[in-house]
Amino acid sequence: MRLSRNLRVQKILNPSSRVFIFAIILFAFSVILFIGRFELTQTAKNLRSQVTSISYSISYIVSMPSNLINSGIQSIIDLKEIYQQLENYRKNQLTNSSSFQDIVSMKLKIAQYEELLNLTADSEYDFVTSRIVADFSDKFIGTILIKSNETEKLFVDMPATGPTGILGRVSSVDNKIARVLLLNNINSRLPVSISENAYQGIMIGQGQKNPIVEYVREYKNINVGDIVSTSGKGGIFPPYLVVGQVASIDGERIEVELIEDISQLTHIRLLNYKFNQNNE
Amino acid sequence: MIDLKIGNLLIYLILFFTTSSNLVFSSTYFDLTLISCLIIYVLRWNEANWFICIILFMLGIYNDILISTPFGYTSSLFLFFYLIDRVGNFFSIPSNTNIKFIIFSLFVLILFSINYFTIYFIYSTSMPFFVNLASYMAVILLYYPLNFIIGSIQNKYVRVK
Repeated sequence: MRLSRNLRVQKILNPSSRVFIFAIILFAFSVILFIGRFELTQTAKNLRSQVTSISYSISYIVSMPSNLINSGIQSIIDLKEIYQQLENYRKNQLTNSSSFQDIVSMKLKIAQYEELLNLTADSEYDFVTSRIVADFSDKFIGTILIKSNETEKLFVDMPATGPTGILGRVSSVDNKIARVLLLNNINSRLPVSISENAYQGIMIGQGQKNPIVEYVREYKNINVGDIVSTSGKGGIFPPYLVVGQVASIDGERIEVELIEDISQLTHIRLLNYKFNQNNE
Repeated sequence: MIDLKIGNLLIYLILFFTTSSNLVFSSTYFDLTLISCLIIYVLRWNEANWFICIILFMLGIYNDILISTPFGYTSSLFLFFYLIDRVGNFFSIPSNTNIKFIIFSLFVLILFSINYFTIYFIYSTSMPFFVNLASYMAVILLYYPLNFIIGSIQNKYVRVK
C-alpha cells in the first residue's frame, strides 16, 4: 500500500510532471491577465511604450541595409511621380478651371456669412509630420507606430491626419516611438457630423470592416454618399475634418467608407489642436 | 537550472525573431503569432526544461506589447499549444503520424471560432469571415512543411534528452 502511494507521489514529482504543472500555472496566469485587462493600468502603458521603443531601435539597426536600398528606390519613384504631376498640372491649368473659381467664391461666401452671424473664429493650429515605422492597420486592433522625438513634441490624443482626411489619434508617446489608434480600431469612438445638415453621431471602429455611425437621431434623412466630417465635440479633434462618405445604410446603422487609406501613406500629420486650445 | 545550450538558445532566438518580425511584416493572410504557435507545437522540447515555459510567457507578453493586443492573449496561445504538445507526448502520440496534425488543425479552428464569437458578442461586430479564416488556414497548410524542416534540423543537430 505504502509502496504504491510512494510511486504515485514520485510520478507527480518527477521533473516532466513538474514542468507540466508549471506550464498550466503560467497558462492560467496568462488567462487571468487577459480577462483582467491589465493593459489599462498606467504601469502596463509605460511598459508597452518602453519595450516598443527598444524593439524598434533594434529592428531599425538590423533593417538599415534594406531600408537604404528601399529609400533609394523610393526616391527614384518619387522623382518620376513629381514629373508626372507637373505635367498633369500643366494640362489641367487649375487657375483657369471653373472648380477653382467655385472654391474661391464658396470661401468668400462662408467668410461673409460668419461675419453676419458674428461667429467666433475657430482656433488655428499647426502640425508636425511624422514617419510611419510600423503598420498594424490590418489587424483587428488597428494601430500604427510613428517616429517621435523630443523636438517634435507629440502628446497623447493628438489628432493624426493624412493628406485628405483624418486617420486617428495618438494613444501613447515615448522618446522614440508613438502609437496612433486608427479610426477602424474597435476601441475608436469619434464624434461626427453627417452631410451639410450636420446630423450628429458617434463613429465606432469595426476592425477590418468599415466603421459605423450610431446614435444618429435623424438617420432617415441620411443618404448614401453624404460627407462625414468631425464635429469637434469632445475637444480632441478639430471640426470640419473630412472622415469619409456614407457607404451604406441599414436602419439605424450607417456604414462609413474612410477617405484615407493608411496602407498608401509613409508619413502622417499630427495636429497641435489641443495645445492651442489650452493656450486660449 | 536554466538550460542555456546552443540548441535551445537558437530555438529561443528563432521564436524571438518571428515575434519581432511583426514590426516589419504585416499581412492579412499570414499571422506571425499563429506561425509562432505552430513552431512551438512542432518543436520537440526537452520535457524537464521549465525555463521554456517562462520564455514562452515572456515572448507572449512581448508580442502583446508590440501588436497592442491585450496582455496575456499571446502568452496564453503559446502556452496552450505547448501544453497540447506535452499532452500528446504523454499519450505517446507519434510525431510522424497525421494524428498530431488533426489535433493541431482542430484546435486552430476552435481558436478561430472563439475569436470570432468573442468579438461578436463583446464588441457587437463581426470579423470578415473568409479573410480571417485564410490566415488560420495558411497556418494549417504550413504544418507539414514546417514539421519536416524543424524535424530534419532537430534529428540532425539536436540531441533531446
